[in-house]
Amino acid sequence: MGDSMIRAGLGISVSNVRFAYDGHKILDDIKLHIPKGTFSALLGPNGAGKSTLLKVISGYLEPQQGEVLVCDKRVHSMKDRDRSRLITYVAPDYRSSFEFTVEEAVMMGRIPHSDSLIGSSARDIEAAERAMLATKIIHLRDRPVTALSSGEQQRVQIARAICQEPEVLLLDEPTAHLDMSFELEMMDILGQLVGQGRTVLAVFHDVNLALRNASTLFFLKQGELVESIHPDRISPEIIEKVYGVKARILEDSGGKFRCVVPYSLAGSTDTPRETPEGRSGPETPQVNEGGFPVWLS
Amino acid sequence: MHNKERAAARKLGPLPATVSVACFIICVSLGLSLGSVSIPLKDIIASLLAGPGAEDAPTEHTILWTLRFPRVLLAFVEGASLGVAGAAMQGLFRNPMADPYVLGVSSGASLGAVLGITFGAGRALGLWALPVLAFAGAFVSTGIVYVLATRNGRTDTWTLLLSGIAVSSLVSSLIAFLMVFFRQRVEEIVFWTMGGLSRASWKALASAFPYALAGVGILWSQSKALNAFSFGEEAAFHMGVSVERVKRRILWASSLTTASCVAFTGPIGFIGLIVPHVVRLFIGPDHRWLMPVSALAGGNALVLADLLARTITPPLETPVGVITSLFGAPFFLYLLVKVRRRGM
Repeated sequence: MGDSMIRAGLGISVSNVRFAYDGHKILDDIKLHIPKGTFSALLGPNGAGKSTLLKVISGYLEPQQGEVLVCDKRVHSMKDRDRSRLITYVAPDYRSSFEFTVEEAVMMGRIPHSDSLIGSSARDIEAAERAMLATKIIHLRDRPVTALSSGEQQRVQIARAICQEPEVLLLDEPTAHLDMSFELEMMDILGQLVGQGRTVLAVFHDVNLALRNASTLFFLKQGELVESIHPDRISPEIIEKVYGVKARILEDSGGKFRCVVPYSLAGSTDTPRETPEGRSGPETPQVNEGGFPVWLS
Repeated sequence: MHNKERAAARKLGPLPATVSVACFIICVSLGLSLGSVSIPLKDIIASLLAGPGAEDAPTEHTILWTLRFPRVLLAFVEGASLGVAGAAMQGLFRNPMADPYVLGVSSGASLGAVLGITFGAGRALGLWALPVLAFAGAFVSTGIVYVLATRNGRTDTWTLLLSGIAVSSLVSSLIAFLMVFFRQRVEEIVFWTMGGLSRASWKALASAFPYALAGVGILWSQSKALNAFSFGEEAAFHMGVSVERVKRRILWASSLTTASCVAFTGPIGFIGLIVPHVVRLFIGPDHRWLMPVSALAGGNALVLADLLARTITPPLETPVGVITSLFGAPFFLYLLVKVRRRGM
């Protein structure tokens, strides 16, 4: 494929981005291209530069070198208002200092769309309503955000991002404070956004969540992009290279679900503990016979 | 339960505006009617209808038009300015402890104005020069406090308060110096630094009002951005707010608003701290409503405080700054305990 073919219809295009903070190199020569309407995951160990990369793409941090295009527009030379109608970012830890209600917080997503200094249009109200319904926080609409649990606050921020109606959503650990059922619900919500043609790039702590939901996995290590793969291509070698951990990849009989199970630090001689079926040992990295009731049910 | 009630109160619609306006009418009527000479309401209305230049008017008419009207109006304008400046600063610093007085902005403005008084700027350049000098002082001190207290878009309460204290004491010592060097003006400066409205005049009102109005208008126009700031500067950026521009605008507009009044009455404490806080309890933190209601409530509060100041110790007048601090300082301590419990 020619370079021009790759660039057509890209949601996010990062070329040769370098970013240093206080003289410390954080991102080194990052190149990545994400087609519109896809869901990609950004993975890697702590301190790999994942959040920094998201904030560079969002326009918040300016790289010393390289270029970021979002829907073919240079993020760092756009007006704040235009940029935030195209792209937004959600951190796991946005906390309000004042007791805004959930509805008021979600409505803040309309700031780049509103021409009025004071009022809100019917369309603003409708967008907020839909975002609250999609994230299942409509019953919390009159509650102060400061009184919510971290998981609920996180859903409020996702709702704010949805209400903003951007083409591209950058989410930093969107499931950080969520329990299992909300984690799945969040994946559902992100799936719907992608279904509407929006592009989602999310940092995940949990490789397995990314494996099941994303269409591309980007692995960062020490500021470098070391792997970009389809989830099917996940292997113990990649996990060891990125995280420095020995792991097995488990797969159900249909080959539909894969699951990374870490068992020891790379370099140690530990063998994995017995699995319930009694199979063990790093020499059998893939268990393909199925029968993992926990996640097959 | 408390939260539910407050959330419900948020949907009351025109009620907050109605209550504020009703309070305004009551406070202003009281302020005009009471004092060393009591003037019944119907005489006030008659006098108002007669206009300032009425002939053969009774003494009450003269008292109203030369003393009470400008004084009550200046108190209202100043209270309103302080209320809005307080709300804006609390929004900018994401901290309920911020206020022009606590952060040393009022002190900075005083220094500017005291320089003006000692060097005769009030006479040579006219009254309008005082707010300009006060504005310069306020702007410099706000800038210093902001740079000291904000790191990576977050403001630490303790650094904020300590910076405010440091700036205030620096300014106090500079003013003390000026008093030593310009002994012939000591009395004027001392009275002025205590804060009072006794020298209110139509001229002062006319000089303060345009600055106050411009400042309040600019601050109000930044309401949505200030709302977004509540989640931090980074979050605001991602909601499309031009963070640096909004910050600069709020810093100089709130300095202007504070300075416009401090220039004529000296620093008056705690109105900017208490008023937005109390208003927030009733109508919530949305700056689009918080600012106008704080303006009305701040104006009312200062009209009442001034009424107390000139009536509780007849025939002498207590500086109004003493009254506001009497109520404000305990409230400040209460907030301090509350903020510490929340671990901000």
